[in-house]
Amino acid sequence: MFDENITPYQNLTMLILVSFAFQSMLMPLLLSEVDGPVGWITVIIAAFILYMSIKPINKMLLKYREDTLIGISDKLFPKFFAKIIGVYYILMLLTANSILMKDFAEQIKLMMLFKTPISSIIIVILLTASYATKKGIKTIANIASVTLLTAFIPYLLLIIFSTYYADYSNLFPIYPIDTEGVLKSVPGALLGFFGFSILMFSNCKVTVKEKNTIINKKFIIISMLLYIASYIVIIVKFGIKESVHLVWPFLSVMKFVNIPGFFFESTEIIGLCFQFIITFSCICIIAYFTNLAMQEILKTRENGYFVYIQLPILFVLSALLPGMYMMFPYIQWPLLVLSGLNFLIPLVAALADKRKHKAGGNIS
Amino acid sequence: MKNIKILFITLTASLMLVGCWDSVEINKREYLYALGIDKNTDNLTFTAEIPKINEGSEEQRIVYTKESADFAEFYAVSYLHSEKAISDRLMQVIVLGEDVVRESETVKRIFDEIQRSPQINRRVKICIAKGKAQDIINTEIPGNPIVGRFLSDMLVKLKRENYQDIYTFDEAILDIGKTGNALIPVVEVNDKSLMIERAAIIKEYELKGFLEPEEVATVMVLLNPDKAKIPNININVEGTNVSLGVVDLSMTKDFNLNSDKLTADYYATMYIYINSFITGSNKLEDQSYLNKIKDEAKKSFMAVAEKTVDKLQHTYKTDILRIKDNLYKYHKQDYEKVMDKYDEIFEGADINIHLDLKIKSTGLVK
Amino acid sequence: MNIYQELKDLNVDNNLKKNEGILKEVFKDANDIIFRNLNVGQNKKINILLVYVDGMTTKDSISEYAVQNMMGSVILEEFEKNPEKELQNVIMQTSISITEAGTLQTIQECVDKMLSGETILFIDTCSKAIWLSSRGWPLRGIQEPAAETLIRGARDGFIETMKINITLIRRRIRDPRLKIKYMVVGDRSKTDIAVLYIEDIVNKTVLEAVEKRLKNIEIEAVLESSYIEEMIEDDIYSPFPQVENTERPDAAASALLEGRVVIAVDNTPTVLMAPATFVSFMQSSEDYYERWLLACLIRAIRYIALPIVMLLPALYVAVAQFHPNLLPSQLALYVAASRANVPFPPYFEALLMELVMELVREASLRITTPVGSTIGLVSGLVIGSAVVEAGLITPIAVIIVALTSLSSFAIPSYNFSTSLRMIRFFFILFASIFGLFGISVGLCILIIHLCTLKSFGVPYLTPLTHFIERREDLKDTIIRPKISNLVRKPKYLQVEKGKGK
Repeated sequence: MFDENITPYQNLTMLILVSFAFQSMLMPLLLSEVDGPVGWITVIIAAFILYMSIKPINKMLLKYREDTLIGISDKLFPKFFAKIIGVYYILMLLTANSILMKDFAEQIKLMMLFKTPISSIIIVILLTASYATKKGIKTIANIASVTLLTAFIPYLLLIIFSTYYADYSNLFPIYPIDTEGVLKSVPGALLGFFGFSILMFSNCKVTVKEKNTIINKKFIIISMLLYIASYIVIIVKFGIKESVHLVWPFLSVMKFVNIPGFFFESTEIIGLCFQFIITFSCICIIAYFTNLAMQEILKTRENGYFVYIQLPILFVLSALLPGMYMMFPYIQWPLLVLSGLNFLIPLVAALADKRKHKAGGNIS
Repeated sequence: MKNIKILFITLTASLMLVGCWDSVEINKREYLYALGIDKNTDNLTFTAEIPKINEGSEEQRIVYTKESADFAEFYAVSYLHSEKAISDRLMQVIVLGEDVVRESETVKRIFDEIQRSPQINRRVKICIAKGKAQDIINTEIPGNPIVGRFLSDMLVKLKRENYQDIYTFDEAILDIGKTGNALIPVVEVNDKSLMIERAAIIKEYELKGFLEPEEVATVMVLLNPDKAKIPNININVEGTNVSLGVVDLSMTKDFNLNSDKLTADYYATMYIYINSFITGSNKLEDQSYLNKIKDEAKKSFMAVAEKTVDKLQHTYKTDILRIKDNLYKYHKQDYEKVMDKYDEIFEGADINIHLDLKIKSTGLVK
Repeated sequence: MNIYQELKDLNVDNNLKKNEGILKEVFKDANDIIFRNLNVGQNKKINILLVYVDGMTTKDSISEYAVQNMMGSVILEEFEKNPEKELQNVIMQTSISITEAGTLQTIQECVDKMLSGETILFIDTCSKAIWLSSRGWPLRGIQEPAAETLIRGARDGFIETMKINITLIRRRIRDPRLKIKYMVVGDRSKTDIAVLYIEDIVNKTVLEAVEKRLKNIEIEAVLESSYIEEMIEDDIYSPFPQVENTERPDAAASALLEGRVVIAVDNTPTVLMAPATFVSFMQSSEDYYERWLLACLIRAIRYIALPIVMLLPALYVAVAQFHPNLLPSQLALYVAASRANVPFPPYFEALLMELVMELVREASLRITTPVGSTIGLVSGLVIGSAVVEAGLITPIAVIIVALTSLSSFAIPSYNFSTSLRMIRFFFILFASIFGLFGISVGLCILIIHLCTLKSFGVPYLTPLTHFIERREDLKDTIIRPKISNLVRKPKYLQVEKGKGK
């Protein structure tokens, strides 16, 4: 309670929330790339890959207890290479954050505030998030915990009620499996586990670092289960043929919420309010770790003020980016590159550390 | 403290930049409750029903008709002709005229525009008018002058009681997307009221025909046996009118696709009870008489069922029974081989209903 | 130099007259200070001076247990035989039968003690004065606190005398580990405060922080415990209180048994309890005195009242201005119809009615009790129905404001419900600009603020912020645990600095 670090379960909460936000944003990719309602197999494959690769990464993170991945790269790789990794993560986090913000601002604009300029909505989200980001990791972890209890769980319950008139036979056919589609959509599914990139930065902020090993594994399993459950809810509600056309599947699902005796007619607006709080927490989390990455690159003592640098960049990126439905056709290659790098960089660092350790052992 | 000041100043500055663009007071909007769409030569005729919202006049309405090319033009023109902002956020029902649904291109255009509309009530109901939608909207129902509310309540009730398959626009789109077909309720003028008894078969966004009430009931039984509402079966056995009610129905389905031959078997067990007979008669104690009742009931039900299936297969050539969906889910490989010529396969399919009746109770309940 | 500034350096003089002179100068124009010269001893050879404040002392005890004894029993010869024994000690040990007494070295100490209600005894030829415990002033009777009434529970409450308040707590915790540390705060008021805690269960870090902050208080006078509260809390700009207060001894005892620190302040019936969390403000003593199921239900109702207090008017504004489709269509039409002739926009309606309710509330506080509540009720009803009939406000707005006010009374802690009432206005502002999105933004800002807030190092939203690690503490949030499972020592208070988990 007195430390400025976060507890292991707060770390887990942050990772799950961030992953959920990206999973719901990237769900259309999973729905459209696989022929048939077998996208859950993709998720299982992606989770399996991450689970297998987390062991050496855990070891490395435990060894370099106080460093983020950027700090570790600094120690393991040549300086230039480490700087490139740092710049890559900063750009990746900024882009991811701006896409998340843009995606959500679009939903707000469409469903709630049709005439309000999207830039106003983005500014409000940004300013609120920056207020939290400046307060530090402890506040952000607290926000994530509170969000999970007060917004995430009601949001999931709301979505479960949408299965009232669902047709569970929509989960078929499973056989024959579209193997090519399943394998092609694995990079997209990998990116859905965005918490995997975040844990490279958050693990060093945990008080009891020994618990990170089990927490990281728990995150992958829980996130996988949530991902599969979300996918199944959409499939049983709409069937694969209609799901392919959905840009915001959860929004569409919420239109069908049917709580017996519930008198609100536009349930998607209520769901959007919960979703806003969840997305807002995710934006804060990503913005904080961007701050941290900048701090590591520039070797400053504090990182709170970097949020003022992020604000205009995020605003410009969000405002400039086209709508999600326009981006999906062009997103294949960038997705492949991003998810590949996000997965490979920590793995390569872990392997480099193992080699260095062996070499060090041989010399001694 | 400094942080609070900065935040306060920044927020206030942002707030001053906004103009509350979306702020329109609830009483400064005109709410479209029901919208009828008919076909004109080049355009569409929109008939809108708007409840009056002056205090004490909730039961009064305004109905007006305009010709426009599409929804957007209709809204734009209506906006300029009224002191209030037109709003479809509380739209209860959209009624499509018969002439509109006979043209698939028009229907596609209308459905597309409804889906794109960001603010329309997501639970807007849909039905098809027998004749002109304008007549439906213009109907003055003494007990419930707001037609939109009347139709909406009726459609909700019919869906809940499983008299109809679809009641909202989103469900219609879902069905058409899944199987290419949909069974949309048909609304007709009935004396000084409206009734929804029939259903329209829509195939690839085009009206194929209508199903009579008993045919709709049969289709609902075959689609959703657990929840289906079967109307009374009225028969005449040895000169006595017997009314039977269905208390329970269990059904298994078996679909097989061998190369181009589709066989669909429905095995139904219906549990019935005697609704009305003759007081004082003890004929119901006679097992042979009961067997005669069962036979007559079976004949009566099967006659309607077979007529319905025949109509679907040969007259309308539309798979409303979602056999296609079932084949896709459980026999995907076989289905994919014949997917392009499914209509012909359905037309030539062997659809059999095997009905077994059991009389659960014959006695009076006092 | 000013005589008042010299007092600390001035010791009690052997010469009685000199001491008298100094005190008379210090208390010049203070006519309630009584100086009484006496000759005591068997031979009436010992000169003494009694100084006390008229109205703050029980003169009878001094006369009976000190003066009368000294009049006859002091033997000067006894003192002359044994000159090493100081006279004041001899007198104190043999002639004064008051239970509490002591010696004083400096004039400043004498002045402080005297102004606290003690009687000071100066003896000629003695370099120390004696203070005699003689505090006694008119006391209010122990009554149930007006702001914290319960259906079932003790009817006693704290009063303005700190020692009696401590006694009320002592009666409930008869444990030698209950420690009480006295302090004095306020340069002019020299208010006595007491820090109470139970030695083996208190969080030592919190205790140290409390003591440190109390010691660092530099203020002229402490007139109420709220002064102390403001000086020691973590964030004075926050609308949310970070120190709890109560007038109930059972609540204070309960706080001590949880491991919290209680601060009692003289001249005020309100004691402070630290640390305080969001959840602790939603708890009431009554929860533990009623049946378990009923208590759980009442608590759940309180948590339902919480968003109503904060958000209901803002929701009305958001729905009426931005999202009419949120309401069932029938209700939306009714609301639209009722607003047809109202000239003001919804946010103005909401603000106006809230303002009227606040005015009614304030007014009813100032009016004397027998009439006050009736006037409050009548004015609420009259104003409400009058404005509706005049067409200024819709009936729905009146209902919403009435519901909000009722819900604010469901929150057990008065200052906490005041905070919620205050932030309601911000939510109305946000809702009038961005509708439900604005309310969500407001909620996010509120969550950020609450997550940043700490009370003596304890996060304000504990145990919600650590709901997995502190899951046992969750038992005492929305529902009340059974008495046998009562979380007497919440986990969040058992963590010491350096062992953070």
